[in-house]
Amino acid sequence: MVDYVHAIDEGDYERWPTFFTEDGHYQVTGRENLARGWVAGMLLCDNRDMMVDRIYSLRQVNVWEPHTYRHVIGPTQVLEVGMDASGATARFTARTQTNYLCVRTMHNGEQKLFSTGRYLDDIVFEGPPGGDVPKLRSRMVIADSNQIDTLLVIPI
Amino acid sequence: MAQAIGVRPVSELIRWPTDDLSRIPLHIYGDPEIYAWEQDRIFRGPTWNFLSLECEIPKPNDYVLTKVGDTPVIVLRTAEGGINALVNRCTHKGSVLCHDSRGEGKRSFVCPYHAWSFDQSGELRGIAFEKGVGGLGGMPEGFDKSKHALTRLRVEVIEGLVFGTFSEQTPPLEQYLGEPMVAHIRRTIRGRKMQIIGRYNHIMPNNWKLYIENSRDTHHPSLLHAFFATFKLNRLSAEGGIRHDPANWHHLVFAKRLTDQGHEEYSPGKLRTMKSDFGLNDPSLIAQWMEYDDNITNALQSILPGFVLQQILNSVGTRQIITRGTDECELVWTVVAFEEDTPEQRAIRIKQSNLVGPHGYISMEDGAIGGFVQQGIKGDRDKQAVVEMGGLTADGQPTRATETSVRGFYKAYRELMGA
Repeated sequence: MVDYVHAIDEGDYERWPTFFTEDGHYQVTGRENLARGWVAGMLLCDNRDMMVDRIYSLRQVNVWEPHTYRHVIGPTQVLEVGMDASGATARFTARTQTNYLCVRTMHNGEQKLFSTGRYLDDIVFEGPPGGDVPKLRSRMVIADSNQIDTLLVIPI
Repeated sequence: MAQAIGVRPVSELIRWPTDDLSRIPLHIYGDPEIYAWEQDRIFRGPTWNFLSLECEIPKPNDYVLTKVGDTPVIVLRTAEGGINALVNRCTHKGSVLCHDSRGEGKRSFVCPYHAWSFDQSGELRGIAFEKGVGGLGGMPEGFDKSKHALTRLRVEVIEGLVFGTFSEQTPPLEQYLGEPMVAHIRRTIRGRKMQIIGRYNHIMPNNWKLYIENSRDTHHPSLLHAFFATFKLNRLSAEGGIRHDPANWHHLVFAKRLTDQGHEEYSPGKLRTMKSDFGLNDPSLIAQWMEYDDNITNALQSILPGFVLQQILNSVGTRQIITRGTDECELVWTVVAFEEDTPEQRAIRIKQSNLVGPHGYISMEDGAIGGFVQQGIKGDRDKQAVVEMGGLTADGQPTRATETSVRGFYKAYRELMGA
């Protein structure tokens, strides 16, 4: 959780997909969209390759005014723990939620509260049996506001 | 009703540098007096403004809030099943009547301030303490409630798109749109029942007109948006074109992705946007099915003043401009699926919502570029923009390497503003 936001906040965007499983799911959506069952949120990636494409595009293709994020995250609430026995070895899983606050700083120093909301995560622990490397099978970013100022290019 | 109170006449505010349509004075993007006139003469003038999708108010007594320019509007389905649009302003003190963005079972609108109540047609039905208390106070004998109804817009619907106008002068909707625009709206929706799958409220750091120009600017996509050019989604060499209504107020730009045979102008290194090394690791993003018999894969239809009907591959949706002062505007994106879609088709539409909105591979840049212009012109409001590509007029042209549609917008703008 902490490593994820530091990777983004320090501009180490290539590390962002590595926090996910290969078939990991990432989506930003707004509270209202979620409440109304409007499923096409923003910035939807349904596998790690799509995340790699997003970062490549951010670096090489898209035109945007340089800026960085600073995330502040709250304590993580564990909603559910479980065991995934579908693979060769059983793995621990967890569903959690964590509040975040994300401030955007433009290249000229201008700062703005860009987004607040919560992460709703589905985590699996990888590595050797009983492994302790948490990977996101799914991260749903539920922003409190449906408004996005100017653009959303760096993942939250 | 008027916004332009105590401001100078338009003729003193705007001086067009040339008689033709090829120059735009930059101060029109930042002048509060011009902005006030735009509210009166464009948004509340003889224009049809997009209000909402019919599918947002499916049942009797449903309502949804929207805006026409700066003016808050309630769009509602009456108990009888018709659609009304009322200005969301109590005629007593001016409070908004309704602040929840949507609701159901709403047969009347009661002001939270002093409980004046209005029916679904906007008629004032009740005033709290109208007869006073204990025979004292209350409204005078001659107070005529029928003179204090809510302002009601005329409403028309085409293919589930609800439009409203403040002016009695606006011609009927289909006549206003013109035959080519009506035909394309019918072609895009095709009588299918819409279901909203997503909405994005995109705040853009620029004057509303800069976004409208951008949506009509047919030669920027292959220059600004590398994503388009790389995947041959909308290269100028692909078969495509521009259609106008007879008055040149509205326009449609379209392309047929698969007709693209390549062109030397797009050789690697020639244009910044042609990055031949940009291959998607997951090309499923741009997988599409041929939804339309005309083989058009990309169409943007811009209806004056602030509405766009979009088809980007299989991403179908609406864009509605809401003004927010001279230097900012909001673009409300709504992406839809149709009831008859197969689960696979629906999944493709959801995935392709990555192409549009503030996060869109393509459209994020339109959010940035308007702000670049707004920043760039700050010190030079006496200067002018040059829109001369493709000539000086606003005719339909068989190419997208032209700014004719931008000139078309300013032709309409000058007619409406009366200057």
